[in-house]
Amino acid sequence: MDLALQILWSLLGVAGAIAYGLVIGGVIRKVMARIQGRVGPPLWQPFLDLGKAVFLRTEVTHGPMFWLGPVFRFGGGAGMFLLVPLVVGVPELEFFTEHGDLLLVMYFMFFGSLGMALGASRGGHPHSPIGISRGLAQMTTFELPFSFAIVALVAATGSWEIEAIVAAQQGGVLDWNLFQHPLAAAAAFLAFLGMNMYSPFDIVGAPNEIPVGPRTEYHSAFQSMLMSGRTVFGIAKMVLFMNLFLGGAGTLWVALLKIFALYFWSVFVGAVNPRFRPDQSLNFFLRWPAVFGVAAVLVVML
Amino acid sequence: MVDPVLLIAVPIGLAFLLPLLEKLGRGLALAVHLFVLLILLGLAAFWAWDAWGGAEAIVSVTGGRAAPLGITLRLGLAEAVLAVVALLAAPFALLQLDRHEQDVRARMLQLVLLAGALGLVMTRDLFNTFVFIEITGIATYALAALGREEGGLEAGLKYALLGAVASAFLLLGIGVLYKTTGTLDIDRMAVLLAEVKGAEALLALSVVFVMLLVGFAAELKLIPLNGPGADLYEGVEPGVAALLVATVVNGMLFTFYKVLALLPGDAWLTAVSGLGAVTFVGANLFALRQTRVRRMLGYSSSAQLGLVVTLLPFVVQGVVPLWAAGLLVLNHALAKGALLWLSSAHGGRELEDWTGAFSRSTPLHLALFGAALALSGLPPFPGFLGKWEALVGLAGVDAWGWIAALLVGSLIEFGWLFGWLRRAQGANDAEAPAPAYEPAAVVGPVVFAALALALGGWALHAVMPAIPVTVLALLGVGALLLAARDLPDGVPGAVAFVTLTGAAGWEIGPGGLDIGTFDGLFAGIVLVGGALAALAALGLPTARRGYHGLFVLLAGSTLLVVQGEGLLAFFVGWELMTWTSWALIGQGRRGARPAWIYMLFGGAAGFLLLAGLLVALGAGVDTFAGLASLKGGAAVAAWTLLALGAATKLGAFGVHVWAPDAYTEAPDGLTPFLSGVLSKVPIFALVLVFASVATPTFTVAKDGLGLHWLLAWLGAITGFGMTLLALVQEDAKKLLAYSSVGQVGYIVLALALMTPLGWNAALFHAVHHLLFKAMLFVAIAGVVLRVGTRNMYQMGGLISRMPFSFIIVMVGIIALSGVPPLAGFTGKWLLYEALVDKGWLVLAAFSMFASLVAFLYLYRLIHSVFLGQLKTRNREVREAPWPLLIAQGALMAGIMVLSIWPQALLKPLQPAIAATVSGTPLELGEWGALATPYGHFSPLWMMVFVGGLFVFSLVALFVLSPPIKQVGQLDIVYAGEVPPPPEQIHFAFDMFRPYKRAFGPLMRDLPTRAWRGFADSVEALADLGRKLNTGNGQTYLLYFVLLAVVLAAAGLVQGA
Repeated sequence: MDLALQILWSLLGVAGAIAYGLVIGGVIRKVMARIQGRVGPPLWQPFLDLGKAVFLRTEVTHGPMFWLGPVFRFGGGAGMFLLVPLVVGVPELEFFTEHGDLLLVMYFMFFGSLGMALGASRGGHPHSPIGISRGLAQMTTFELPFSFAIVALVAATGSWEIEAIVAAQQGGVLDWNLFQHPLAAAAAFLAFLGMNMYSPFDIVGAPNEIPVGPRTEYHSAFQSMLMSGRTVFGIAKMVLFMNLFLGGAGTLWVALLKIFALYFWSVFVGAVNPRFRPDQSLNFFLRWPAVFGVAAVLVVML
Repeated sequence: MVDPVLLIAVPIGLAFLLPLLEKLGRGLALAVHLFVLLILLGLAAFWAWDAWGGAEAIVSVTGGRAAPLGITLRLGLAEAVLAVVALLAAPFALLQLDRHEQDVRARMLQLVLLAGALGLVMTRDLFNTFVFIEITGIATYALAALGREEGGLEAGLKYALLGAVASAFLLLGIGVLYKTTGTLDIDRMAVLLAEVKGAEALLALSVVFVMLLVGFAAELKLIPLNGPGADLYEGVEPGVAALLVATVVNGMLFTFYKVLALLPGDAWLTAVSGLGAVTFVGANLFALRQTRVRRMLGYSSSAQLGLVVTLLPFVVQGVVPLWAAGLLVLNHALAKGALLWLSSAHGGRELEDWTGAFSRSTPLHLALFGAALALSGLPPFPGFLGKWEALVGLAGVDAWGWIAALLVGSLIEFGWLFGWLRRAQGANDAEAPAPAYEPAAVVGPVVFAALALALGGWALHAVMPAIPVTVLALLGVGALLLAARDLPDGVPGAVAFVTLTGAAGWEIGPGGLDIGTFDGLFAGIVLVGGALAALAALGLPTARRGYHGLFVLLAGSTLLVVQGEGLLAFFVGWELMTWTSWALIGQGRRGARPAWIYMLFGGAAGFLLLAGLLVALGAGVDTFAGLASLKGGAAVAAWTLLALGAATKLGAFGVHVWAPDAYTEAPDGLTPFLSGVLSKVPIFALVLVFASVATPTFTVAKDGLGLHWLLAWLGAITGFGMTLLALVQEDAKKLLAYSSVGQVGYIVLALALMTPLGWNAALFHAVHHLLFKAMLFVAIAGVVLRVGTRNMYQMGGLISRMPFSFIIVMVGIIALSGVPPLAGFTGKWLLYEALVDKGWLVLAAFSMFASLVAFLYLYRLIHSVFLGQLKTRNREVREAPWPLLIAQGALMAGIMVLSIWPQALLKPLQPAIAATVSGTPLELGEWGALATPYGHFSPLWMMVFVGGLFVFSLVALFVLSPPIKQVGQLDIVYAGEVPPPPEQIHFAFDMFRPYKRAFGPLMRDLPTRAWRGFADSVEALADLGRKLNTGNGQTYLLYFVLLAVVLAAAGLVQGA
């Protein structure tokens, strides 16, 4: 495909991902409100929030590194989205997948987080590094089950290529890795809870006692960039899990459906669980999820 | 023709003449004395030269009759050399005595001592031997008693009494021998003894040998009879002790060597070696807990004699060449002589008194360190080659027990010797006036240390293959710079930088190194790392004088490890590297203790490595390539020992305890080299070993798993364990130090895969680690220089003061963490593709997780230092000095090249890797792409992709938010309140506390505690020395009896 065309599709894809992510965000807020016995904001509230942030004047910055934080965040989110095929077999929606394998995607996940961490720390607000240190600590521990799950899948498939992993799951629903490798799936889906940072793993953002965790100092235009970066990053993670465990997607509609379903795994768990303390959430991932992960790899080896 | 008997007769004659001369004038007496000594020295030197040229030994028969009736003196090469040493020491001892204003009696006694010692060396008559022993003995007691040292009289008396007991044993033995054989001539007696038959006669002989052994054990101060000797060393003026070492001790050893020819059968020889080995290990152990320097040196003499006694039976059997034992004897005489004179000049009796000893006097300082290094058997001193050759001989007859004993003893020797030097390394009071030393006190030790150096260098030169020119140049310049350490500030640094840059340019330039070979690649690492570290050092305050000279020496010896030909050159380089780096680490402000621990583990690593090399050398292999010919158990043993040695040196988990402190407390300019280059040398050793020795395997379930698999786990656990420990550090350098050790663990992991993919990962990471870790250490060195602390919580917000350093650290942490698009990701990608290719899945997943934990300490580093709140006291901090910035910039450029085009490194390496290990190859695609059958990625594309995303987001933000106003650091959202001062709101201290709770014991450095416990036990054992050698003459007497009983019992058992 022509490079210019590919770039065009990528822009469309990112924009679409943001839009879809915001819709899902609206639904989540509505659902959570109803669970908690409230009416909740309207479905389009996230769009309003984003629009407001975009059009607010930005007057203050804490220097170039602070300024670059949101750039990293957005670039990292969009980049990861573009490295995972949304619909396998449709070149327009595979974006730039052909240039790297699953390892690249896994490490690209950290690109945005790292840049964001640097920018937020530059803000000088103590809440930022507190949130970041918690977030990073949690990240490293959920990577324990996640790494084992990934290695199990890769070894079973014999490839680090995402397309190959998707291809290996074609057939029926029971061919999905979710059912073919239940242990790996268990490990990965528990890690997934930590990745999405909904309750009980939401101490990182700590919406109540620390204003907004790492993002404390960011406002208006910065905030809009962070919001859209976070949204597209969230979608990218869903697409990755869809490809790894749910057999990928043959059409865009199937993809949207599976992404939606994946989101709600986190939401349902979050809705009914109180928040963990930092050390509790670290311990959580080091126990059963880790055991599942190791078992998954051992099963593949034997 | 001049008769050797003159060597005995002239000193005795002069001794009687001295009082007369003294009457004529003290000056005249001294002049004549000195003149005679010099004449004799010339004579002995002439004979030695003659014998070296191949002349036959001079046999002189005194008394005018042939052997049985007359007394035969023999002067061959060995005797002549010993005479030279004795006569070299005598003039200095004379000057020393004069300095202490002792009367003519002491000078007479010295002459008697000399005559006795030379007689001991030359005589071939057993009774005559006894006479000379008595002569030297009496002279010794008298000299001890004459001195004004506290306890000298008592020590001399005890020594005399116990010496008498020893003489009685000897005399009885000699008497029975005479009765049995009818001769006193040693050579004839040996022939006759061999003919003795019959159980009863043999039993009688056994008793004789027990007596002789006990007698000599006392004379040679072997355990358990070393007590009186130790008391004597403590009680006499050290100058006297130095003369004793160079004369009597050598004479006694040589006599013992002659008597050994009488011992029939191997069992007796084994008993002798056993006594020697027990003494070598035991006396060094006892020295460990001594706080008094002289007594420590006394134990050391016992130990050194024990070493030679262990070897002598093997010399007699032809296993170990005589010259090897000879080198050890000379080494001891020169080194110990120098040390004792230094001890006399310094005057400090307790270890504490030695803090910063001689730091004002370059010749004495260098003599102290040189002599101590010689005593510990490190290159280039003769003790090194002596031990090497002896061990090679022992390995040839599979005497592994003896080898182990000698290596363990040598390691314990490092313990006390470097513990002593640790004091001398310490900083002394710069305000105090420099002490003045008399010329007489200066010349002796300096000449002896220089002689040791010359002898060692010459001997090494004689047996080693030619050293590469660059190495030679670096070693030469380093030595010169070290000697000229008093040059004004800046000059040595500039010379070092120019030398190292020149060497790097010369070697790396056209027609130079081929980085497609393993040694070429590692030589490149050494040279680039060396030049850049020298550049960085220009911007830092010099740690101490001599730093730059030692650094060039270190670079040269590291290069020798990589480029030297054969196992000897490799090991010479290795040990040189160990002690030069030790000396450099010790120059850190609080570096003395970490350097000491570094030396102990470095020594252990060296000895493990040596043991591995000995397996090969014993089988007649003297190159690494030749290791391939080893079979079966030998291959497994060589592989295991070499791998253990390398693992110790690179700080694998469990033996890492030396590394973090050594890296942290080393001078800031050195740490980049330690972490970037020295940690790669054991990797290079592993490459050499893996490339030639076949994988030793053991069988688990159905598949054979190699020891490589264990090593791979060790690497991964090192990576994980060090990462966990890194993230709880408050000290920026220590954090990086732990990180550095951990990163090297991943290199081991990759190397142990033994596949092309794994080796690509390992070698790529080795180069990349040099670049980013050296860069980070240099950057932190700049920060520490400007801020004046290493504690990260005392920094913060430095981005506004040191923006360039911030960018460097940011690039460094991105490179380390493996986040695209920098080269770190290429390294990770290669590693995980390789692990999955190999099928070691648990290891793959574990190391993937472990390497991510590194994010925590990396964030901690960059946030605590550069981000957050700028402290008030750091408001005026400036950017790091330009040499540091240039070095960082150069390293960053290297990282960028590797990031954009890793094929620049990987492509030339492919043929060598393919020729060494087999398996799935790495495919190098177009446009720099890398691929395996399992996955692919393109570094260049990735760089463009990330660049594109970045620019897009940047433009988007520009559109959304045009240039805006930067506010002050405290203009933050603080719930409507005024924020407290920056000191209170910089979140940095104990950042990952929840992690400690979650991981519990893993976050405590348990191996370090375990080693501390081990050290305590060793010290408790060393305390045994104090309990055994009580200083009570009766106790000592008891030991005589016990030793005799034990030896007799052993003889009986053997006879039965």
